This record gives sequence, C-alpha cells and structure tokens, in this order.
Amino acid sequence: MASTLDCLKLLSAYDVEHVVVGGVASVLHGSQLVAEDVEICAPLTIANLEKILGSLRGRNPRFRMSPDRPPLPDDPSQLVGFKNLYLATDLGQIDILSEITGVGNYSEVCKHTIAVHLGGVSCRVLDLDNLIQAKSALDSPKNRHTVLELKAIRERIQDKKPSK
Amino acid sequence: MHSPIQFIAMNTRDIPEMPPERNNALRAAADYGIDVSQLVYLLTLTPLERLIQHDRALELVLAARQAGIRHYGFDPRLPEASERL
Repeated sequence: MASTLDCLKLLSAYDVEHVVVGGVASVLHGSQLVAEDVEICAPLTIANLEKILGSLRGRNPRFRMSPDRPPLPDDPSQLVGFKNLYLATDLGQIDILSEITGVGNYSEVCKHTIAVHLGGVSCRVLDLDNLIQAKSALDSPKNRHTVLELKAIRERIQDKKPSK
Repeated sequence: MHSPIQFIAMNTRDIPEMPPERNNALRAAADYGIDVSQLVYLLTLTPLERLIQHDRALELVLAARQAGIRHYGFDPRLPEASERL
C-alpha cells in the first residue's frame, strides 16, 4: 500500500527534522503529477539520522541505488558522510537529500518553507517560488513540465488574491 | 470527497476564458498540453485532499505497472526490455 501521507506522518511522529521537497511538495502546492518517491531535505547529522532510522525500523529500509539493495545499517554513525540517501521501504521510496539544487543546503532550504497541515500533522514544505527555482535548475522534460504547472499555479493563486 | 461523476464533470469542464494580457503562465501550460482545468480543480482542494487524491493515483500507477510485469514476464520499463518487446 503506497501512502505518502503515512510516510509524512511517520517522519513527523519521530520528530525527524526535514522539509518536504520535490514531487510531493509539487502535489501539495496543486500539481497533478504522481510522485513515486517522497523527497525530503534533511540534515544528515547523527541526531537526525537516529530519528530517521527509528522511523524506518521494521519497514525494511534498503539502499535503492545499489544493485543488491543492502539493508540500511542500524548504527547512524555508518551513514554520516552520505550526501543523499535513496531508499526503498515497505512504505515506498524515500529520498533524503542534504541539499537541493537551485536552493542550497538544509539551512538555506529552511528559510523558504511554508507550514502545511495534513490531518493532525504539520509539515514544512518548500515554498512555491523556491520549488520552481529548484525544478528549473534540474533541466529535464519531466521537470520542465512541472515548472510550467507550478508557474500556472502561482499565477492562478496570485490572480485570486484580493488586490490592494 | 467527490463522486466519480462529479470528478469527471470537473475534469472535462471548459478552461475559463483567459484574457491575453494576463494568465500567461496558464496559457503556456495549456499550450504545452497540461490539463489546466485539472490544475484549477486541484487548487479548490486542501493540501490534505490533494495528497489523498495523489495517493489513489499512485496506487493505480503501481497496480498498472505490476500488471505490465505480469503480462510481459519482465519489467517493460527497463532499458534492456526494448530488445525483448
């Protein structure tokens, strides 16, 4: 059962420091794309890695990009030094990125977030302007499509705002 | 939550009139082939409702992919699959 919502609730329940980015952030802003992976930007510090591992315990987390898909170690110190973690889990694919192209590292990303309430859980999500910036920096057909959608959404939102 | 009939009606409704001096981004998206009426509909939902709808679509995508793998006996998305199809 794929549930992005369950995944986000789980990260919040374990108090994982993170910002929702990528396709799921696009969906939350109103994009019609289907995101197969939950992309978050998070500091890959021992303290946060401990929380990440806690949230994924029992959910069969594995390194997705390695051909033999080895399981994630239980010891967070073994993950220090990774720039990104691309994981397959029983909840779906989760990408944990320490920085976002076009925006910057986690502390920079944190400056450009909005709070989104999802059924009792509040998530920090990359704001629309910076999401457009990040997607524009990744020049691929899929991202070009998403940028056009996000710009249309921004225009529609601005259009609906009462004029001063 | 919308019934399937309501949902189809929303998907197929006409794109609102767009004056040429405004809505440049909406127009560019529509010209590219993006279903702008669906975008407009999604903006009437809360983020939670959007995510629930997304997860339903994701379920469908994953089920269709599994059906493709069962049908072909291999994953037709893999690069080497083009030689076998």
